[in-house]
Amino acid sequence: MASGVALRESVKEMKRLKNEPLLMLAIIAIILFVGFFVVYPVIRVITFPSGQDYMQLFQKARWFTALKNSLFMTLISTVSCTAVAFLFAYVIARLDVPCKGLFRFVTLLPIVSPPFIVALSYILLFGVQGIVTKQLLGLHVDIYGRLGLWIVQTVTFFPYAYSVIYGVIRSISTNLEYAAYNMGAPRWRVFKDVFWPLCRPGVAGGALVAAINVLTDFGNPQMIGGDLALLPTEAYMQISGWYDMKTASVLAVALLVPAVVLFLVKNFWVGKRSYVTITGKEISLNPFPVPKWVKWGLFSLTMLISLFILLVYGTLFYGAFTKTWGYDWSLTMKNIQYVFLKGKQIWNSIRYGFLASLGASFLAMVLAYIVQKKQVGINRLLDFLGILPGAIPGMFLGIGFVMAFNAPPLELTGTSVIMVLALLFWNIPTCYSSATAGLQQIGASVEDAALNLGANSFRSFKDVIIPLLKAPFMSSFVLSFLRSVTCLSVVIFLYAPSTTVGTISVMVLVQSGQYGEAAAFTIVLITIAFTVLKLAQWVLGKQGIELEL
Amino acid sequence: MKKFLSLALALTMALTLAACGGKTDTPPADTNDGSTAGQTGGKLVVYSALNEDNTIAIADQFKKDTGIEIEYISLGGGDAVARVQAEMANPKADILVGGSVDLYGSLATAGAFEAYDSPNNDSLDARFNDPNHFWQGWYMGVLSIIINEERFEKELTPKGVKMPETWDDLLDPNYKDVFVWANPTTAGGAYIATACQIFRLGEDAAWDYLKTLDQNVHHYYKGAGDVISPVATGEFIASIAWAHDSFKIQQQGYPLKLIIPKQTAYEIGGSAIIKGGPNTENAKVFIDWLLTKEAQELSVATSYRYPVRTDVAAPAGLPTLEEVDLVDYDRDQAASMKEAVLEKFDAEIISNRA
Amino acid sequence: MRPYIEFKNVVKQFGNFTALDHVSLEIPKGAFVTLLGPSGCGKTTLMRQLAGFSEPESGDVLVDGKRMNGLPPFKRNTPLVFQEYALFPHMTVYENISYGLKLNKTPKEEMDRRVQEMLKMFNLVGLEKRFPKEMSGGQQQRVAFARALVMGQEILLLDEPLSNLDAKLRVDVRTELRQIQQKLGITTIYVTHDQDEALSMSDIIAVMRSGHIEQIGSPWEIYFRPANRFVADFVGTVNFLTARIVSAEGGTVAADHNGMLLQIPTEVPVEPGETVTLVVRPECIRLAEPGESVPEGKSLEGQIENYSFLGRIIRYWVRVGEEQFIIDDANVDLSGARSGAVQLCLDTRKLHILKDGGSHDT
Repeated sequence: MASGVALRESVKEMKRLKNEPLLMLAIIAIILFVGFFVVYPVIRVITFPSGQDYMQLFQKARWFTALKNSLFMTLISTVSCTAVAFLFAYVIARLDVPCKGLFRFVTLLPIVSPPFIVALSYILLFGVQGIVTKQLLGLHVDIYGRLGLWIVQTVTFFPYAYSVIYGVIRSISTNLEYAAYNMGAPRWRVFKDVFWPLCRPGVAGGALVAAINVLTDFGNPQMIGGDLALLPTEAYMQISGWYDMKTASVLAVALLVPAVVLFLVKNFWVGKRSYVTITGKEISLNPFPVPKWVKWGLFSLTMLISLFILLVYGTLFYGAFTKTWGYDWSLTMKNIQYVFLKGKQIWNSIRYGFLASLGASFLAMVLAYIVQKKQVGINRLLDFLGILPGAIPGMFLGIGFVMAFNAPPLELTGTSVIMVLALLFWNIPTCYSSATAGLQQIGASVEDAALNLGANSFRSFKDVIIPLLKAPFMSSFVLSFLRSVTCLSVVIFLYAPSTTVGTISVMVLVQSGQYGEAAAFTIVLITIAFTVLKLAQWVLGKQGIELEL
Repeated sequence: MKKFLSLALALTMALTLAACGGKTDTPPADTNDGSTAGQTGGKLVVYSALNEDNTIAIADQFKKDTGIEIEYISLGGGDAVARVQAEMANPKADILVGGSVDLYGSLATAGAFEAYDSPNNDSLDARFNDPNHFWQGWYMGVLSIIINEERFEKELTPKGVKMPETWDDLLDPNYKDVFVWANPTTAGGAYIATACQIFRLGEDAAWDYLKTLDQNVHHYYKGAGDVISPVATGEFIASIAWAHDSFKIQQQGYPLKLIIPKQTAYEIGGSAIIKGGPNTENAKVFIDWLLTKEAQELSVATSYRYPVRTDVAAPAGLPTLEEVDLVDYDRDQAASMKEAVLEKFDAEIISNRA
Repeated sequence: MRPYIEFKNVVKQFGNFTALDHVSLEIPKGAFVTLLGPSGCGKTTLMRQLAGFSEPESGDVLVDGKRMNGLPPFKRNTPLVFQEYALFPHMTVYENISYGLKLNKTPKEEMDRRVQEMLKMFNLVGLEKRFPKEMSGGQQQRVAFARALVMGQEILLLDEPLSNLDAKLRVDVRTELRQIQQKLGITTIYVTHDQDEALSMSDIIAVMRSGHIEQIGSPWEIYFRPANRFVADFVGTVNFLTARIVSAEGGTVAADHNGMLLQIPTEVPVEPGETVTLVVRPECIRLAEPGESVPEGKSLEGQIENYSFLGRIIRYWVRVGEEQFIIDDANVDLSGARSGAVQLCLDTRKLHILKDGGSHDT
């Protein structure tokens, strides 16, 4: 019944589109684009192995173990990521404490640093012979395996949960808490009865973002997982150790299933339960002060974690300038000089990151506009296409691109184009959600007003929507850029001699034991990422727009 | 409307142009006058399983000697083979270089390589030349036991442990949890070490050996080379690795000791021309060049690998090949039993750990 | 004469919710028509069918005899002033007002002339370069009007444009707006839930409820001759009296309310014995002076229970038998409000009779 109505609705809307051929063209183009560059590669990977190949997953004990391990690690790391993220978000958004700038900086570091490399610092500091664990504290700690991986993944991925939770906490009006105090509720009741229920959907959303990242990560497990078998590492080794694309595809699909489940839960279950939309509206009253001991207790905990992260990155930074990683600490510039010998790869990182982010932000903006503003019957499909790539692990997308574009009709392997396209579509969901949030902030009637005055969809998009979306556009552009420059999983199967990027170099250097050079490369990449971020903040700041990631 | 369209069009064009820029800034390859005499110019695309600085050194010298520009990717042997295989329908590279020729067998059978019998290989030992000419051996590597000397002296010497000299010395329970190894199912070098035990001890005794050794293994790394840095930095005390790779890390200044035990195994490092690559004639030039005295000397100097030419000296600081006691390593058998051995290793050793 | 704007059997559904259920309305050229009703009644939806922001499931929307269905909003020439003004925040006042002209490719001089005309008409001269956020609510609202009128089109749509203004300004703008509308002779549809706005500005009011039009009429008809209880109650304050018709002769009926007999002149056809509802506005009842003799058939006895002093009037709540009456007494005495037992005097000419107990709420 309902679908019949929806269908009739769609047919009628499509008829209306006759008046706006460009809009119709844009819709068709987007469907074709996303279909060809996301859905098609995914289907290629899924259909590559036979049914018998899939049966291996259940027959071979190791892979079943890998599946179980992956799910277990995802569970515990998600819990800890969410707890740390909530702590940071609460302290930064609600407490009157110093050093907030430092805390913010700390939440950005793991996002802008390439995977793989940070684990080296952990081993150096906290490994069997760790500077902190063994030499300072005299402990014998074994970080290889579940425990170490748990800690490293917590620190690596809590920032993703943080940004979601922080956005939600900031948008909860303090007036609500004051209202509860006013009615005589003690502090902890206010937290429990008012604040926490309002946060809960945001916390759940943040947790799921962290979960997807933990589940699909293969850099940290490779370095620090020891003998622990996990799906992403096993899939990677199937390709590089056994040249077995079929089995790799099976494992990649095994990874895709939980990723898609998490994704669906996040978008459709949590999404519906959200009481507050992230509007970026300033809260009206100063937060109600919490007791001193709570405040400074939370502050100390946050500071402790921040110092831990700073120590890890500080070590990496220092290591980039030492002669022999972890052994000879005398200073040298040779590592940095080595990086500049390979300027081409740094340039590739910047170039691809820039183009992919520009393309993704632009495409996502058009897509979000069509979905939000036009009551086109197919907007549910378009909406789904916009968030779909978010469910696909980066490595899966990479394998899919190799399989799909290795031969005509569209032969792209080895070119710069395939690097840009893969990163572009990988970034679409990030940009799409940002553009959607931006559009929701623009009152619906502003665009109606433009239409009413005689502007067609493209005119109103150009004259009204684009200028008003400047801030979300810039923030999604910058975020995509940071993600692209530090991305390894998507490009690992796609790069060619002339299209190698910085993160690949880092990985190769780590693999061949050139840790100092790898650290130097990482420092350069992080510096580029931060420079771009600061530059964007400065440019937007001059126009009075605050850029939040 | 027009303005919008032109804007979108300009953006797309800028995007495409910039994205293609990487291709246009290299001069087009002129491979048509493909004499093997050298000085042909043009370019050569190389998938290299050598260390990156080693690859760079080769590329620089090759450019000087022949005028041919090398574009390369450095990647693990497995990744390199996977790439060549994945691209078989549409090859992007001309040369696969580095890694044991064991890796090359399956690709040769699959028809990924162009047969080429270099005029420069006539004087080499027969084992370096593929009878079917699909690959060319151009260096040798031997397996060694590696030890972090500082930690060894501090922690094991007081317990009365002597520096290991044989494979069997590694079974000493004092190595428990300070010994690491690579997983033979994912690391080619570790498989050669496994096969070495089988050739040395015979099937049954070899499995006893491997299972006893497993008691000492803290964990298995994925790649053969992954074990060296942890031992060099003192995370762990002992492991098994290629002598040349270890020697290279040692040269960075780490207290890393190399011991080449009796009855060690060796690899023959290969190179092959990828069939249907864009610059096949230049690839032949490259194979010829690899076997020259100068190139062999360069390889020895930058990577500490054993040369295949008898007129080039072994790397300084390592024993000469004559001094090394090699196990009777049967490459054909090693290849044919590989799958069964690895399945057993996975089922009886690795699976108990995951 | 053919109506200028015409809604014919318009049906609009949102999922299972019927927002407009076969709504028909005819609007003559130059008229000021108000769609009045509580929120959710469909008044804004009906207007949006004309503006083209949504399409009806069935039924037609016609302007000057031409069917508008299927035309996108930007081809309809139906400028709309939004409740929240919807000014473009990134454009100046001048750019906001001239935007429609720019889309129209109006020559620069012509554009300037017309924008200046609007600036003058709405007292905005000198503010051209301001951005919306730099202006007061009242100024923003005038920009919104100017932007809608600058094209000189035949139709003007107003969606609760006054609801964001403070009370005093709202009353001033009403008058001003009505004057401009009459001067331009522009056919106007005005959506509001405010009865005062509807009564004070409209030529025609259409009272809506749950997707239906309950009554169409002049402000006088709507106020004094409501079609049913809903309209009576929604437009102004009202007392409902249940009464039984005793006799009906020659345009006057005698109705019995709790034993009191009321003589009511009416054109509503009723039969003796019928039970009806009497609609009595608070200002149609007054408190008789102490000692005043009120004619038979117009009077009720009651007890004052409460009052509220509003300046120009006093509102009394008076208990009469089982019922409570609301009475607005315009005869405010300097000494204060009255109390105790009072006699009420009804202006029976202004009473209105609803048949069937006034329950014919479709």
